[in-house]
Amino acid sequence: MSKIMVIDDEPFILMMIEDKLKRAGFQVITQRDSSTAAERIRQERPNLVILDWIMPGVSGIEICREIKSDAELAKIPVVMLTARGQEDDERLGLKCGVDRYIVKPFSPKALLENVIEILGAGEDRPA
Amino acid sequence: MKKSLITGFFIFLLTFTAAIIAPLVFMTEYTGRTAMDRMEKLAPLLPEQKFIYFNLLGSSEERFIAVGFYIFLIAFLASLFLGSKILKAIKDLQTAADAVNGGKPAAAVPLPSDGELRDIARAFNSLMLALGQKDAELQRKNHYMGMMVDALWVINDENLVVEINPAFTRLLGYEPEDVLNYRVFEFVDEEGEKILRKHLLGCAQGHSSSCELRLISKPGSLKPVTISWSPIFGEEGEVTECLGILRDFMKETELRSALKEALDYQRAIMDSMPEKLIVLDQDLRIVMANKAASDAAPGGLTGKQCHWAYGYEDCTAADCPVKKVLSTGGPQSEIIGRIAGGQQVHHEVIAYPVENVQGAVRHVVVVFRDITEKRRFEAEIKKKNTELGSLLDISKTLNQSLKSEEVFAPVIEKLLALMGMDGGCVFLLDEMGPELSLKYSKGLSAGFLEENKTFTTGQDIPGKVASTGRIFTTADLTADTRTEASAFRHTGMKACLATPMQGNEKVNGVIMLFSFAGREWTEMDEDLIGGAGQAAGMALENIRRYEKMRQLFTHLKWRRDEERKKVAQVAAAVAGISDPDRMLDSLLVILQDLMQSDFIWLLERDETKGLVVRSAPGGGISRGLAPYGKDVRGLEADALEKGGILTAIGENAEAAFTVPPCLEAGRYKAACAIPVPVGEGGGQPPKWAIGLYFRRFRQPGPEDLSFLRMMADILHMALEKARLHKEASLGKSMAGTILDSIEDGIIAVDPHGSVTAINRTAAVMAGTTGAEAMGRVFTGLFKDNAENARLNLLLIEGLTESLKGRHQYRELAMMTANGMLLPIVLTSYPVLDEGSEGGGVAGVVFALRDLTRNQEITRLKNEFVRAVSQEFKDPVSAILGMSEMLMDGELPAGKEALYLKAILSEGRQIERIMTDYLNLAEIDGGPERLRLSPLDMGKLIADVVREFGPAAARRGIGIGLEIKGGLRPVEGDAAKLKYILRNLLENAITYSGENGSVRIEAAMDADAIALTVKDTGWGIPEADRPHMGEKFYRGSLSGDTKGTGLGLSLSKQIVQMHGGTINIDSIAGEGTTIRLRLPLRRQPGEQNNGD
Repeated sequence: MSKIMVIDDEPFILMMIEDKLKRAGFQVITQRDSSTAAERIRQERPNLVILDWIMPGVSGIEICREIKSDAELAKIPVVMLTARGQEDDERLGLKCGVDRYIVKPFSPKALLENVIEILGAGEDRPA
Repeated sequence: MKKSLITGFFIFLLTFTAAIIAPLVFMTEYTGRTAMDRMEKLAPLLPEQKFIYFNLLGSSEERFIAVGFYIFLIAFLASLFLGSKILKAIKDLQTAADAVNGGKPAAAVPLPSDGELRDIARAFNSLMLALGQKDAELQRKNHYMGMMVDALWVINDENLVVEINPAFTRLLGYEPEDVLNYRVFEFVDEEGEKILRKHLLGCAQGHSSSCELRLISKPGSLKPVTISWSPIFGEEGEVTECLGILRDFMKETELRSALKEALDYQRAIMDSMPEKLIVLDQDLRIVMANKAASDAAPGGLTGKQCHWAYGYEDCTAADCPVKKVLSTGGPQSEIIGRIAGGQQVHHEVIAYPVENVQGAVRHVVVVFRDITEKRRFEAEIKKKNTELGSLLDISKTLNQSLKSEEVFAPVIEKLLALMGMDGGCVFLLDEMGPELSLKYSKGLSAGFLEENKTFTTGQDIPGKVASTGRIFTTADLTADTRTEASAFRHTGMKACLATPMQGNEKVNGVIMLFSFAGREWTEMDEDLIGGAGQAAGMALENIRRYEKMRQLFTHLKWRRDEERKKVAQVAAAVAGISDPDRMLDSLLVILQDLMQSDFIWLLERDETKGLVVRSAPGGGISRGLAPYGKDVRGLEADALEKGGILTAIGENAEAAFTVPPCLEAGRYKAACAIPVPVGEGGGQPPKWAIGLYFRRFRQPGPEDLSFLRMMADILHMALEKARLHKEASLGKSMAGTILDSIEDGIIAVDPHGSVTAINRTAAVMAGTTGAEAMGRVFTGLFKDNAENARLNLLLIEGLTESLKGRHQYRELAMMTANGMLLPIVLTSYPVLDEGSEGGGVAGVVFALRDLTRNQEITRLKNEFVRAVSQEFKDPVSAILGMSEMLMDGELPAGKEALYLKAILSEGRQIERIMTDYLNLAEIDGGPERLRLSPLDMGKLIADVVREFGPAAARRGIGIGLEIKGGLRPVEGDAAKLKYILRNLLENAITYSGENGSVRIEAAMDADAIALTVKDTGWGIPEADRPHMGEKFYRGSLSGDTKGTGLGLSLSKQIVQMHGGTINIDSIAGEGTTIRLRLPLRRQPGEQNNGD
């Protein structure tokens, strides 16, 4: 079962994503505090990370950089889920190693499709 | 020729054929027959055999024909080939011969290969060469003969005429055919024949001779001719012919008589010459001598050597002029001096070459001229010339030099040299007194001069000469009785001459000359030196006169220069000082200085007080003082009344003018008052007067008065200027203040582009000051670099457009003086000239608007919109996503309510953001937008704190609230005040780490509520602090937090609208304290700007 870690400071968004992904059969770990997010990733070794950009304390982009610069974690795909929809922002995100850039507001359905596309999964999904 | 050749050729051919073929045929036949006979002898031949053999042999005729034919054919072909070559050679020969006939004797024939023909051609060629040479020779001979002026004929040994030349034809009229090969005697009569025979005989024997006879000319007349005969020798020395050259006898005779005449004439000329003249030949023998020469040499000169002519014993000397003429070929002359009859005589010998036709000198003509007299005369003239030259030099020196001291040295030197004297001195008579003093000396001992520097008129030699004006001479000072008492006896000199320096008016001095040897003075000497003395005297007078003039002129010039300088000073003072009082003081000081007065002031007429002091630069007297009192009239008042300059002077000057009591009485001896016309137009009487006071007697001259008048005018103008300046500066400073208060850079220029006004902003942009920029060309104001090229271009364009009455608007970038690149808008407006009828343009105003701020605001606005939209995105995401999931019905059981609650909450968040935004819009509208009502601040604060409870708890942040005492109601806008509180709390929580704390305190402070919000957060970094509270400004820590950058700014404005204050204290890393003071009641119209 693929393990997905969702990091966002907004509890409602977090809840919504968690529910959507769990229903699709993924194991979901949520994290609101960005400052300990990287540590959590190292512990949990998720198959995918969904990151908010704008968070108090450590920003999503910093977490992404940390993941991508750590040889053991670098292979974990990162989906950036952000309100920053400017072209420059997207460029910066991709430069930092973001695998998929999704601009808020977003449809949970579309997010799920993206996740499935990246993980190629489905086999773990309960029928 | 050709025919015979061809015939010959055929004969040769036939002969050849016959000679070869016939023997060959017969021999063949013979051999055949012999062979047949032998065969027959051996064995008898059958008739058939015989027939066959005979047939084989054939008849001899047949054989002859056959063989002959073939041989002939071969021979014919061979000879045809050879013959063609021969023919060509012959043809060449023929051509050459034709060429020779045609007059080209040099024609050559190409040598053919055939031996014989080659020989012929060679012989032909050498013949032609010889012919050519002969021909050229003949031509030359003919040419010479033709060119000869004299007629000639050549007679051979048979007495036949064989040659004549064209001159012969000209002389006697015969053409060559008339003469050639005729006997020579046919041209003479009997007598002539005899003479001719005799001479021809002589000639035949090799003798040259000449004869005179008459020849019969073609017209039949007898022509007397002279014939010169010369033999012509042949190759072996025998006389072959006789050449006779004929000359017209008559012409010859004419020439001879002419020559004789010429000689006679020459002789006559020679004899008429007073100088001795001889003609010498190359051996220096005299061949001719004129009468003068012959008379001086009894016994004749002809045949004697040249030196006989002038008494030279020997003429072998190398410098003998005659010899020189012979060696150089050019005329020579020499002066010979010798003693004759006890007297020195001088002769000039002049020798001229006489050249023959070839240019060789054959004779020398020598002329002797006695120049004894001339030489004596010359010496005299030379002396006179020297004297004249010296005098000229002296007078030149005198005229050129303008300093008397410089004159004497050259004059004395010249005179000493001219007269051959040893010493001299100059005494000058004092212009006023009777004293003569030494000015220059030469050759006299210093000791003597030391003791005899001065004389009085009448004393000693110089004194006497000066008083009498007459020259004094003595041959020997020591022996002359007149000089027994003279000091000059002890100079060691003997001869002495003293001449007065007589000028036009009087004697100016004395020149004395001395010599060691005694000397008799001639009248000429006296004249000469007297002349020099007179020249010196007159020059001295001129010099003195000049000196006086120069001094006078120098003084005048000095005075003019001074005045000019002062006027310039005045002008500078007037131009440079804008404060009229200071200007007046400076002007008065200058005037006082120039007039050399001891006190100066400027008085002004006052209606009530009379005259009052306007300016007194001397000090001690204060402005506004009425020095005379009301009833006393001063000199200044009189001058004002009179309207002109008044002066008071005299032994008892104080009686002539009233010394004002403030000045020390008795100190001033003269005074002067000048009215100063002030005010526009001539209608008003002058109100101002300058008073000048002098401690010594002084009568201002007309120059002074005119100068004073001028100064008064200048003062008038200056005062006018000062007044205008003051008025203008008032208006200007107001305009300047307005200009300077404008944030845009403003530059006003006149139609020529000179800056007439510039405000502070523009001056700062240009890196100059207003005063510096004034009058400068506007394009030169800004940094001259590539960045500003467009600015300057647009400035010029703006000026051009504005002058046409159009304004212009351009956006561009410029570089300021401190190197900052600014985006600006350049606007140019024409300043219309109200005075001009056509609505002309008086100037142009440029406005440079710094766009940086505008651009910054735009940037911030964009940033805001972006931030706001981001702010919206999270709640919108939640609302949309959750709604989507609700609708899809895929929520975990029992979660629907939670989702709906979340949707509601997120909707509120959106509302909150919108409120912020609306507040911003509202607050920008002003305090009038406040919805005031009495508020319980304690409750309001508590409500808000409660709102933040959960958020703070999530972050582990403790919130403490303390309300000290009771809070009185506040007149305020509840929503807006709540907004402030929310904002402050939100910031405190957002910018604090986990487990921080936020403490809120509220208390009454007089008529206000003091509220403090203190957190233990990150604090505000140093760099952000100055910007806190600016619209849209978000601190450096806010990067990834949610916010609009409006909160604090809005809070600040809301507090201010309530008449309160807000203060932020922050220490980075320790926390922030916000102090808010809210008055209970807002004062109408009050808006506290404090922060």
